[in-house]
Amino acid sequence: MPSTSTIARLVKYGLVKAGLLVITVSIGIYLAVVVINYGGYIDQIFRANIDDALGGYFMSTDTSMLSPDEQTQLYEKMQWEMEESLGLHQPFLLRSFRWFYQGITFNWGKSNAIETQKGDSTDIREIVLEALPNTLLLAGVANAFVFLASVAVALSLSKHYGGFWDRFFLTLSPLSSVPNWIYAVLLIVIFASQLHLLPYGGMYDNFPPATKLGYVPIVAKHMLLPFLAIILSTFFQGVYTWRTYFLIHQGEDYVEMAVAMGLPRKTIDRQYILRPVLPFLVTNFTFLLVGFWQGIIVLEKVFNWPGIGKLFITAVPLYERGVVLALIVIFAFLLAFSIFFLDIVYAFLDPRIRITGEGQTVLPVRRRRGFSKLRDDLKNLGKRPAFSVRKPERPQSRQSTRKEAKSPKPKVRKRKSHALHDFLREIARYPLAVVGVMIIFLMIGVSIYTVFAIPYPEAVHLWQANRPQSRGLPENARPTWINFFRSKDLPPNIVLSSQAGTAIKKVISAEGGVKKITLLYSFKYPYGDFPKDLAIDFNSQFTAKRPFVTLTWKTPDGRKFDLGSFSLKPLQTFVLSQDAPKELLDPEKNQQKFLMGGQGGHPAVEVLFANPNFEQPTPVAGRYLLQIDGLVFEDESDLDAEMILYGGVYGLAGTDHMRRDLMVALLWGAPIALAFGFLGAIATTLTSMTLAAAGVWFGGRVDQVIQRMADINMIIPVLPVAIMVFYLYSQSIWVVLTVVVILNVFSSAIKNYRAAFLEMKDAPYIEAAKAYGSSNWRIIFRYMIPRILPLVIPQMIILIPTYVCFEATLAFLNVSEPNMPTWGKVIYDAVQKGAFQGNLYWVLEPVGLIVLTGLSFAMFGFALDSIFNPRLRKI
Amino acid sequence: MRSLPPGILIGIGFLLVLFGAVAPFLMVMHIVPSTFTLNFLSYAASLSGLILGLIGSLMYIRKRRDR
Repeated sequence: MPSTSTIARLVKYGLVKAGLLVITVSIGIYLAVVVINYGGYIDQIFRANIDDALGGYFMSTDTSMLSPDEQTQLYEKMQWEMEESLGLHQPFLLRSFRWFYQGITFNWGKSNAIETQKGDSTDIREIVLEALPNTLLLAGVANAFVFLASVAVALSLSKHYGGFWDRFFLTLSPLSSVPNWIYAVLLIVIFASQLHLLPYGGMYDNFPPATKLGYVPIVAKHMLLPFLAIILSTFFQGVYTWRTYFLIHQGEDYVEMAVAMGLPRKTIDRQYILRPVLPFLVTNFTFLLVGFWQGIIVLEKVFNWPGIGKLFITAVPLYERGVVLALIVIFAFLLAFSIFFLDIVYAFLDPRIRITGEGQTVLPVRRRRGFSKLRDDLKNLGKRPAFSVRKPERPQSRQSTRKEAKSPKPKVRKRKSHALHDFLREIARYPLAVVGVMIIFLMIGVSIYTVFAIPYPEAVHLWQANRPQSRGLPENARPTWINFFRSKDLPPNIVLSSQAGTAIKKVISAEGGVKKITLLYSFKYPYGDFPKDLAIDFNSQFTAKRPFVTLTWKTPDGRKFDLGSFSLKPLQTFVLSQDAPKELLDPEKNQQKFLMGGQGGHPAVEVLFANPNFEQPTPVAGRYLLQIDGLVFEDESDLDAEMILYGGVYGLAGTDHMRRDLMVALLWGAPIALAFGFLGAIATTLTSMTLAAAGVWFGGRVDQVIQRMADINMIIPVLPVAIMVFYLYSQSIWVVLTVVVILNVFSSAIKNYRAAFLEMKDAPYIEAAKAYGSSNWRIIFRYMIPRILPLVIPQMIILIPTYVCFEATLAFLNVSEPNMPTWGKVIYDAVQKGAFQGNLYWVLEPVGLIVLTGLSFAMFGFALDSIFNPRLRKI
Repeated sequence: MRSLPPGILIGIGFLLVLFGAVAPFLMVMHIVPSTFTLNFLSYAASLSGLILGLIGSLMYIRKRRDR
């Protein structure tokens, strides 16, 4: 039983922690208030809304009895009153504190554009209270399952270490590097689009059940796919992490030592086993939760799940300041509670934490075994054949410096080449890592090729919506390679032009300047499926009298169809799906039994190609002919035309709804994703590491400021802030990246690096460097940072797919530059335009590339972690 | 907490986690009204249940190894 003084200290510790957290949350929310208001931009929107409302009022109300001056006075009075009611006449500082107070007291007011699902209230409290349990339900069930399943599996694997299932789960662990919404898209494709087993999204069926209990199976059915997506993105990583740490803590030397010393079993359990390993696991779990809150926003968007994440995505583009503030407060409170709870758990678990009278957690000053172990491990790394770690420079005598200067350089080079050779040999032991490296190099090669082959301005031009040049491309055409998997081949695009010489042009002159021009478009059609449409682009020259044309279609079996006769404008287009004569679609006249049978093409197109003798729509194979008989009535007049038969397949990637070649976005997606990934990961890691080192070295206020910023940052969700920055401040994705990097710099990593630097701060070689007169920054950059680089590099590699996926996530939420072709943008367009109904290539191609990129970096990073991390090398 | 056997810890953790999942479900079905207190309580239960279960699991694995 703990003594009374211990309980009192613990209570005091908890109160102080809670107080600090309240301050942290308050600062975080106030910063959010400032960001949300966008320096007065939201005020301008409110003023414009007031003007609109007053304009509408004066338009609909008879004010003719008032003089113009009186009308103006009434307008200004009403305007002032409405502005006053919104607090727009107060100084911003005062207003911001008022909003802050309203925010933390849950007094969020009413929404202008969002209402409850029943549509009976615009009160933001009610809107949030309606959405919050939906998110908690999803989170609660998924977290519980992930935890229970992964701990159970991890326990079993740690028991059967090295067995088939152990290796199986180890191999699958990189799957968790892909965000849950990517799995969500894949699951929708499989279970909703193809198998029709589960709904695409939402939370309820169209019709309510008879009883309230009837909601249980309905909600469960709708929850299954989001739940599976969460499981896939977290389960394997959880199993890997926990199994690894179960193994580590089972085999620690100091545990064996404690057993050898004859300590009681309970003491060994508590002091030597649980305490050292639990803080890590608890921390790991916290970060899992923090990451989960980020992921839930996108997941709810994909599944149209009516939770707080979807509410946030809806509210930001509508400038719903109250709703956004409410959700930031909810996010902050949930995260703050998690941190507070874990702080309390830490107090019980972490043997390094002492609870002082002031409730501060302090670390013992003496050097602990942990550092000596780390140092020994790092030293030993250099002796191992795996790779070498450069020893930190130590102060040297002049004599030794001279000796070193004279030492032959080739020896150093030889040592380096040996180290590289050893490192490569070590990597070769991990087949998945080798595959990962090959994919990474392939991606880098493709990116370099793309940047030179399709310069960025050209790519942006090609990716513009409604580009006239895109007219020649089919709409939603599948990639050409899809024909390998089909029994009936889809036709490619067929383009024939009289100007380009791919069509026959005959000109017969008659009297009075009249010319008869015949254009013949003949082509073979051996395909098993129908084309999508037929278009004819006319290019006629005339001064006054418009040329007259007659269009005739001839099938291989000798049938003829009259497609119409009309006078031409200078640039006219005939599109069969829009301009087909009514007779063509008359079933009795054309003896067609399957006019609406539709296999992708327009019914009119099927009439031109289908065999009338077959029950099912089947194109007649053979040579088709389109004949254009034109009459021009002036000497200088001429007539040309281009026939476009829109096919079902196009290029290696297909096209989208705006006839854009998807290959442009798939190719350019690679350099953009890699640039985002590399820049984000390197900038975040290096800055975090430098700040942590500086904080530890300088200590005092510098360290305090850095740590408090990290605390505040932990309760600010990164994704919502990134979305707000994009909508309110800058439409540049690189500005958003910068903000995300800044936020991530002060994330959990900085605390981990700080812990590592604290271990080495009092090391003898640092003391020696100080005594030798090295400057502070020299000690930081030359002696401290290089020391932990071997441990940081794998983490940096593992961080790259996080940023790659983050870019795709932002683009999927339409947080991207409009004309920037990226993988996420393709998925966004595909999901918005119904790719799940028949155009799966559109969504699967970019999803496949994101998964491939994410997995390749994760596989390489995990292998590096196993090689570089001395604790993991043992198992 | 330290003196509790792992089985009990895991059991308590499971019950808390269960509450963290059932409470929102009842709110979604409008069987109980959605309030901030209940929402935060269910989240707290879920989180603390997971942590307790984790601690229980670790104690269990150690006991099993000793046997």
